[in-house]
Amino acid sequence: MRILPILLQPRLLTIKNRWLHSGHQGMRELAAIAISLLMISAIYISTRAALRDVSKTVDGVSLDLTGPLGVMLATLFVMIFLSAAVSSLGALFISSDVELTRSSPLSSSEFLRGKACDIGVSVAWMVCSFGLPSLIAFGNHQNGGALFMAMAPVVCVAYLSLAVLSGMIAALLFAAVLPSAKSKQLLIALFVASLGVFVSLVNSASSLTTANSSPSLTDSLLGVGFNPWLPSTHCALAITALLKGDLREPSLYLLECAGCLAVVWLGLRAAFAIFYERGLANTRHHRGLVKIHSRFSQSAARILLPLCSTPSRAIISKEYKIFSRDLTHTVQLSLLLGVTFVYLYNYGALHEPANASEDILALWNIFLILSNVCLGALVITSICSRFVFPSVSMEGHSFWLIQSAPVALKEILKAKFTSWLLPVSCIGAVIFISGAMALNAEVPLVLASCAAGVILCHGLVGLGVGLGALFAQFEWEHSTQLATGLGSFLFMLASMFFVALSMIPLGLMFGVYILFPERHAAPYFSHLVLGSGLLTTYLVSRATSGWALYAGARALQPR
Amino acid sequence: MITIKNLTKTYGSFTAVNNISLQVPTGGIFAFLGVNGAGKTTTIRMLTGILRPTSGSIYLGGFDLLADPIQAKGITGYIPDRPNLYPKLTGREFLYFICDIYHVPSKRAEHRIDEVLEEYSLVHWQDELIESYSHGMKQRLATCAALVHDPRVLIVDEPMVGLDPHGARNLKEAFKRYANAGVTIFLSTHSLNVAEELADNLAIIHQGSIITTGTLDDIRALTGKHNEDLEHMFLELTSPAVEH
Repeated sequence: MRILPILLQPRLLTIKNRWLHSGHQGMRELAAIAISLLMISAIYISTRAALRDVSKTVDGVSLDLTGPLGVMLATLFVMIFLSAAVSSLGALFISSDVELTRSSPLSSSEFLRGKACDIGVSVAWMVCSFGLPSLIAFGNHQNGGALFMAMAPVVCVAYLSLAVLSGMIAALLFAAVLPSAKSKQLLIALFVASLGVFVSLVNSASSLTTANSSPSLTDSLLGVGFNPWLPSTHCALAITALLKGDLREPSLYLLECAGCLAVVWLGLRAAFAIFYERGLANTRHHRGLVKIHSRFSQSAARILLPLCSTPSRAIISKEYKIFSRDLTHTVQLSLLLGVTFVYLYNYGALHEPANASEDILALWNIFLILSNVCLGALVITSICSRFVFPSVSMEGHSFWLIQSAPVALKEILKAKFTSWLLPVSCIGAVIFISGAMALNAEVPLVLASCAAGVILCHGLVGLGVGLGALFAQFEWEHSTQLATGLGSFLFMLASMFFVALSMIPLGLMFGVYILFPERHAAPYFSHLVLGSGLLTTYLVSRATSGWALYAGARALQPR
Repeated sequence: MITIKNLTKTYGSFTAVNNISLQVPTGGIFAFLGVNGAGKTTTIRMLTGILRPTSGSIYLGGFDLLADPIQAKGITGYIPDRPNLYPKLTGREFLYFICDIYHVPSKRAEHRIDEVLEEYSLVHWQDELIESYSHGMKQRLATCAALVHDPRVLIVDEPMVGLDPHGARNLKEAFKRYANAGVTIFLSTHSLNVAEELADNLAIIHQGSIITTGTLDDIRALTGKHNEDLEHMFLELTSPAVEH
């Protein structure tokens, strides 16, 4: 038996060749690695900080870290399960090597083993990015030694392998019912089911862990980590035993895991034998479940976009149709909206400094309002880097359609800018209003925060489309590659610079408004202050987006 | 209808198209022949505005492609050899998109879309996503997209690739119909049978330069092979032993 499954070799060779023959793309790869290392460091630091806070309680008794570890492992399990399910749909049914491997003398056992390893490698980045730094943070917090550092990843990998294999079984079951290309329904169903299960666990855990009638969300979440029915709890117990230098518990857990893996693997073999052929046939039979009414969608575009020129309307409606029908966008958007929710929740938990003077309170309020706009803008930057920046590159091999069409490149970029400005501004408005309301700001400040945020969205979307055109890559294998390159990194830097620059007029605006409340009685004072600040910010934003779109249009000219 | 003057395209020290000049009359089918790597696709990409020439000029219907690209592209339809379309649009939505960017009025667009879908047997697939189409269907849809806006110039790169015999025959007959109706068709192909069958005039490009242009009889007279078919003459003219 080969050591490495044969189907894993193309992926490993691709990674090797990408490095050896990267040429000018080497910088891009290095930038992506640098960003990944930054992210891993940030997760490690934030986990250490969170553990320090969670460890302290009012009566000085330190909290058992099994709970937080269990929550982290449960979350990771769900993430890997979903990712593995989606990856499996691609790898088993839609991948370009399926026909080649199925027509070759490769046994179904070897095919399945190879695909399982391939899918495991494809989701491994989540373990490395989120699981590994968190695990190391746990170990360092509890002064875990070499034994912990050596054994904890092994225990984790064994545990998460269950998620990968379970995801593959879920994919096989769904593909037998739904065509693989229609996996959006699969993902939404899985996501809702996972959310429902998670909420139920939190609710049931809260009644077990505390006698309070209204337990805090933190207590409820920590309760998930102690639920004895969850595999994450067993894994967490094994890992915390390692921290105490105990080898017996982890060894027993590894044996338990091996047994579960064997059972799940047999289940996977059975599911493959029963459902794979049906799923493959469903994939080849492409006709959709949901009928699309092309005439209706064209009429709707005419009604909803009456002010646009015909070519602009065509491009905008095309963008919306393609976006809404692409599975990867749905996944990414869900994750980003989840991050946004976490951001808003944390923001609402900020408290005023106790016993502060009026001046300090005024400065604190200025800081909060400004940071709401600034941090909200950075959240919008994340959304733009994933969706807006790649929008030109997403034309891919179809770009010839636009190049040969009688539409100026400037108009095309403007249409893309318009198509993204509206949804990003709406999301931005929600973020900025929610943040300001969470701070209990006055109505004029809430409105000013919202207006400032929407103005910043104008600049960020312009930067995204323009720099996306400047760094356009039309030869991509998967759309998620577009958001991780050098151009995307430079877009993030440019966005941060733009947001920092915009903070100058906004800081003056909020500062004057908050520090001189006695002048609010003067006629038009507040209008003047807020209006001039917003106007200045708008001019900066307009100049930024204008320059970016101009540069992008120039870069796309035929060569 | 199509005038190419001293057109050159270089990539660094490599010259892909070397100072070619062509005059394609209005109406009729002009075949552009050459071996792999001769410069056919580069020439076509310059004609469609996808590539910018290093030097020279291109006029389509009297419009300078470099100075007035919008007007020039507005009267041109292009069928590429590999029809990369938008997989997440339906066939009909894709044609609506093309009509909109070519400024076809909406009533005319509805009528033309129905016509071309009927002509190319895509009516039953018009509301299916393009990702579910076979290669031949995508080729036919790309042909529909090139024709839906009533172009005066049709630039075609390897049109028969992926078509079954029925599809190929239908397309050849369609090209003859369009040419008789006054559309100028610039056709690049490897298939010498198709060129011999359809072309009123042809040019052969070899190593970036035009080596001969004219009707089939002109080429026979040039080579002195009055009874030879196009394949023999082409092979002789593009033989590595022959210097031009």
